[in-house]
Amino acid sequence: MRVTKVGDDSQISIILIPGGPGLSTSYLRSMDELSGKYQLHFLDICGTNGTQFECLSALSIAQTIKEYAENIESPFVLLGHSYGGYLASKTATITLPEALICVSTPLSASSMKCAIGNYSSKKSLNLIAREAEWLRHNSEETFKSWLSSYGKLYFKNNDDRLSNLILNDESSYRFFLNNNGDIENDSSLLVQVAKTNFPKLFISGIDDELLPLSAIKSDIEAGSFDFTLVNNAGHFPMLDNLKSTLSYIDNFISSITSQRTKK
Amino acid sequence: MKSISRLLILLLAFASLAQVFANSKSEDINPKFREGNDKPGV
Repeated sequence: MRVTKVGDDSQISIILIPGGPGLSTSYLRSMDELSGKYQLHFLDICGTNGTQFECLSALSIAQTIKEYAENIESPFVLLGHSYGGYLASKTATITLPEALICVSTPLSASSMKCAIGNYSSKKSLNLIAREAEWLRHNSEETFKSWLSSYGKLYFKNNDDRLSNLILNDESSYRFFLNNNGDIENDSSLLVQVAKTNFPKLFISGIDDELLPLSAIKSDIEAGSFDFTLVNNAGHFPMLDNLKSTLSYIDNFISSITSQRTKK
Repeated sequence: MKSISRLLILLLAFASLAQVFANSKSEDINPKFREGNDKPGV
């Protein structure tokens, strides 16, 4: 595991976990602005960003994250995007974070099934071609080329800059192939998340075509999450509408810390 | 003549068996790696 820390020691740390599985933390670095107030810990695992690939179960990864988190001196918030939100949730059930934030995350077989359905019915001709290359030959290049061709399924404001972020990512296709079935095979996660007492926030882009509100509504209820929709944003709210996304995260964490101070 | 035929049959059987092992070696990929191929990246 590789950790990139941004910001000084502060009262609260945020541990950030990227999605895919197989994407590195590079695209989450758009959230560096939060480092003025929180210490950010970007986690790269299983082959991403130059780390060594290991064939690990989701639980093993969660245990590694837990071990790291519990060595941070300040209280920590777990924040994950998409598949990273699943890992953050899994970790949250075996440790005690200050809060859990999931961004655009499928947390059940049912929501994952919706994502698969939307992907299948909405993929463009370009995406179909890139998918065929990826299926014909699994490699880092075909993986990145495939993911960077999702277009409107990923981004509301679809432009080359966002696609290139993925195309140039230090990704791990092995991590994707090894762990992509994790969410569908984890039937007890939401029950465990619902039993926890720390605050939980789910953030979703209002224009997410891969995982729309209808797909995640039951996950949000089952996991007892607070919920926020980000305007003008798709599956990557931190790239489509950074300002609003950061504002929701900051307000949520600030409200927790102010409540704690009052106590 | 009969024993030569038997020997040939045995040799052929061994050759087939060796081929099966050779093929299975070239497919030495973690089957779990294939599971993700029908799912999108999230």
